[in-house]
Amino acid sequence: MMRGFPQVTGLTLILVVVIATAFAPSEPVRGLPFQPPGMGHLLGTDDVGHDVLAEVQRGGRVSLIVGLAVGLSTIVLGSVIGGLAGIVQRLDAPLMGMVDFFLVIPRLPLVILVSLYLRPGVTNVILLLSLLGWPSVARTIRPLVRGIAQAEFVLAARSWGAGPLYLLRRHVLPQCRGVLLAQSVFEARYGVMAEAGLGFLGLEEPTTKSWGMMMAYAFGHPATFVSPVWKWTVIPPALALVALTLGLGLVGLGLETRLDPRLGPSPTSHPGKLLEGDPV
Amino acid sequence: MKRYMALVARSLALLVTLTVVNFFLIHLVPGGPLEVISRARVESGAAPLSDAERAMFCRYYGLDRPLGAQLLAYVAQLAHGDLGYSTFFRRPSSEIIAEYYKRTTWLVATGLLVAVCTGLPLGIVSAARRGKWLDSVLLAVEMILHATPPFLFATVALIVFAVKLQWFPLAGSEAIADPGSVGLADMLRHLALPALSLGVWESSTVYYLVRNAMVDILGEDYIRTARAKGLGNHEILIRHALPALLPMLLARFAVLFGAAIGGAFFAEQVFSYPGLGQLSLIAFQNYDYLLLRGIFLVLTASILMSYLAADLWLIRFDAGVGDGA
Repeated sequence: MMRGFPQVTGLTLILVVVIATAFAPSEPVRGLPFQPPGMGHLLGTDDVGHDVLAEVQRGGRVSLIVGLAVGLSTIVLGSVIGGLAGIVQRLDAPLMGMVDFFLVIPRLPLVILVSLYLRPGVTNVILLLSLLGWPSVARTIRPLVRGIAQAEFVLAARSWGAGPLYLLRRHVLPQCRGVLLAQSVFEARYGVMAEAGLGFLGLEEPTTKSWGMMMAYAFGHPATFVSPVWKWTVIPPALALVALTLGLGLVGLGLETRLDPRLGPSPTSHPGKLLEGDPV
Repeated sequence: MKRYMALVARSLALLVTLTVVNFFLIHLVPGGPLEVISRARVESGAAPLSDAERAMFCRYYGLDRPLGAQLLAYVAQLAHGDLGYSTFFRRPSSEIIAEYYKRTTWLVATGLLVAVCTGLPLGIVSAARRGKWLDSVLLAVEMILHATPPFLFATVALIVFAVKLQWFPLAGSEAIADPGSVGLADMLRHLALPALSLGVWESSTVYYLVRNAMVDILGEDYIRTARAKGLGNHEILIRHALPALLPMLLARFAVLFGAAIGGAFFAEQVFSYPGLGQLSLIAFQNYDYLLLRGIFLVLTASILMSYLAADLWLIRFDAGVGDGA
């Protein structure tokens, strides 16, 4: 892989999704059911006659919101908790104990099972994924914070009475920006994927149509298996989803190799270190 | 020994917490248990519950007692291996869960086998050819596989191999006409597609694990020594690098197992394979919350057990576990 290539490809993919979503119509565009792609409907229509292109655009909003919210909340929670554990000696053991605790909880099965109990809307999905996602950020950030907290400029700030939260915000966390960013991009990617999965299993509110749900509806219809309609009811949402997760993955990967000095001289030495534990 | 005990204690604490959370989750269910019974009766054509009947059910299930007492009763019940009575199947939950659990285990085990058989060699090849074109191609392909959600593999496999080519059955875990009599061959035929799609999805994770670990190992001094001795590439990979890789890989298996159970939910859904994922959906759709609670407990407990086993195994090799990292 060339240097910079993953980021550029990834950013392009994400941008395409974001722009397409930004121009989404606010209401489903109606037509006759199962129209093949053509002039009237660029990507055809689905079983209830909704324009597939418009539905893909509208579905993108759910994915983007979930990705953004999960990425943001895990980065905030993870950096504050991991940072405090790294900088305040007394808090280290209890906070990291909590992190270990959350880390061993198997995420995907748990999210699915809890969704079964609660039948979540988008808010519940975000809450659940954030609650289970921050520990991996905290775990990555703590050793970095520990290292930086020993630096002389931090000691200097401490010596004139800076408190831990001020130190974190002003001196320590800005140094870990890159790693935090990479990690939160991976968390966002995980969120997008898990949300699509829940939609596919039919565990989301039926009123907000997402890509996972579009595929679930498509596969719930017998015509998908006996006629060529799957070409335009299944492939577009699937491609959109893969484009977004791939884009996020590539951007995360690029950030990771660029910003982590341990990853060695060659840019291809260790890509995907953060991907290893990902799907759990 | 102290570290072993600490790990076991942590797993137990986690299990207890999850059990308690699980107990309270059921109280968040919309409508509550009596509403569920009432609805089931209306659907079967009978009159809704009268107040007297409500009071009776309340007493029968202990719902009139304080939450703490209910929790204690639940724990006592669990201690007897009793997961409650399934209102949908009209049998003890534990029997049903055991039946479905067996099939999920088959699915997950076969899927992991596929994942390792593909991910392990590819990862080793990729690490051995680091920076060359083969490595780049593999990295790119695996990246795309890794970005693909698990249910897509399943649906593609379903359309190609079951609908178009008709090599494998569409759904289920055994032939409908003659359940249970065709034996192993039939079971494997039904298992093939779900396990394959699960395995392909997991294999990218195995690939990344193996490649990165292998890159580390190949940079070690003893590998250079082996090379200096004049050993060939194959000899170094198989005699020196692989033995160093395997313990770590085995430990990460627990993590893979947890992911595979989640992925299995999707494979089961697409192929209507009657495993725990399908069972939990059945339980959910029929308001069978006691069954759902049992599934939750059994699943989390088995995943925790696999994590514990992995941690204990890693301590044996002292791979830097427990230093607070």
